[in-house]
Amino acid sequence: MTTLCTPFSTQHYPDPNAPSGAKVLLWKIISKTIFPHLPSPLYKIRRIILRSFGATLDPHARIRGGVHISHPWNLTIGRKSSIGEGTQVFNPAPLTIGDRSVISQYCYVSCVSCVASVANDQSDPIKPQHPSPLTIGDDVWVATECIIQGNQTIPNGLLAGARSTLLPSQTSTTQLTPWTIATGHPAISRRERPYQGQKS
Amino acid sequence: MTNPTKISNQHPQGLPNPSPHTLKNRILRILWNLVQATLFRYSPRPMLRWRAFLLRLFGANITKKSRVYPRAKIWGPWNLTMGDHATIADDVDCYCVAQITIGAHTTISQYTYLCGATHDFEDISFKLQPKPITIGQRVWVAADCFIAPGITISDGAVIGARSSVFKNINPWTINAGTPAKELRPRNHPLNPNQNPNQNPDNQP
Repeated sequence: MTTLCTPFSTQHYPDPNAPSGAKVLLWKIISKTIFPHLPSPLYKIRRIILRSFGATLDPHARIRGGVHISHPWNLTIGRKSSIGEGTQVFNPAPLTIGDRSVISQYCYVSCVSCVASVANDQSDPIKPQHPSPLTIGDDVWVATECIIQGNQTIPNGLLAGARSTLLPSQTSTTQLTPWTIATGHPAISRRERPYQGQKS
Repeated sequence: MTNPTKISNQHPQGLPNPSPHTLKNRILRILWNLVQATLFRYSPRPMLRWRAFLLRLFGANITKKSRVYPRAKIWGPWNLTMGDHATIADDVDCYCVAQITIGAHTTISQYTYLCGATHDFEDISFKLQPKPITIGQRVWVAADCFIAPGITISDGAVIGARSSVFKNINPWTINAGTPAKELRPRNHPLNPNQNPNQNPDNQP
């Protein structure tokens, strides 16, 4: 929860979308001072700040107070999606969130995969794993205190229960399927998600 | 992301859902957040009665002997009920959209998240569903636990550190894990079911 920390160093990661060095430095200052302390209802001001640093946000995307975002130039959020209070987003690779998706409070969304088998540079164990893009589909609800790792696509309509860990699956049996409820560590699709309405 | 025509079919106005809370609730929460960020948050740690007074001012049903520490985060005090010597430690997030009841002599340890609401995930409106949490007397919820909405933790139970509670907890038991599982009964002088031979202090 609050004990999780977000590494803010960009030197290890190739980041093609990054703005100039001065702008990155300015974001590091803003992201550690005023940005997490803005009151929760000021969605508009946070959207303006993030857009000025290169984020692609829908006018109805909601980012609540106390959210830590490491690389806003890699962030894309769709219509009516929201990120809850106290969530830590570490996205040196592109992070795409679809429409009507919810990332709840105190989640940890990371685009760096720490699973050893997907590492593309195992010669240097100290070097962080290569960042890999994370795509979250439409109508997804990631409940409170979840951990999501990169190098995967969260399918449409997935409901991740509180405190589950969404890891890139290694086998087809543990693959997360659309419109299911997934829980556990690592999260496995347990049952169908009932839904009144058109499934995307 | 889906194509825009499909979205516009589902959302004619395309506007975010209106707030599920009443205007009075929202104004009170702004006032409470201002008080919490200043008078509550920066009060010296021993001023337990002062913080209990501030909570009572906003409608909390708590006694003078309830102990709430300054970094605790209370969503709305009017839904909080606490008994004598009930303790909420630092960095506890008390999301009391529904009534949260904490019995006497109960301790909620650091970083615990008391989650008082869920959403209707079966409907496109994704409506907020407040569900009350009831925690009995002489319970200890250890550090960094998650208590799901609508849960009842009975008297004398112990929840181990970093557990996630998704089912009701039986009285005088020790539980741990994600999801929390019952490990064994709690050996305590006040446990009515306990074997008296195990506790020599309890014998006449």
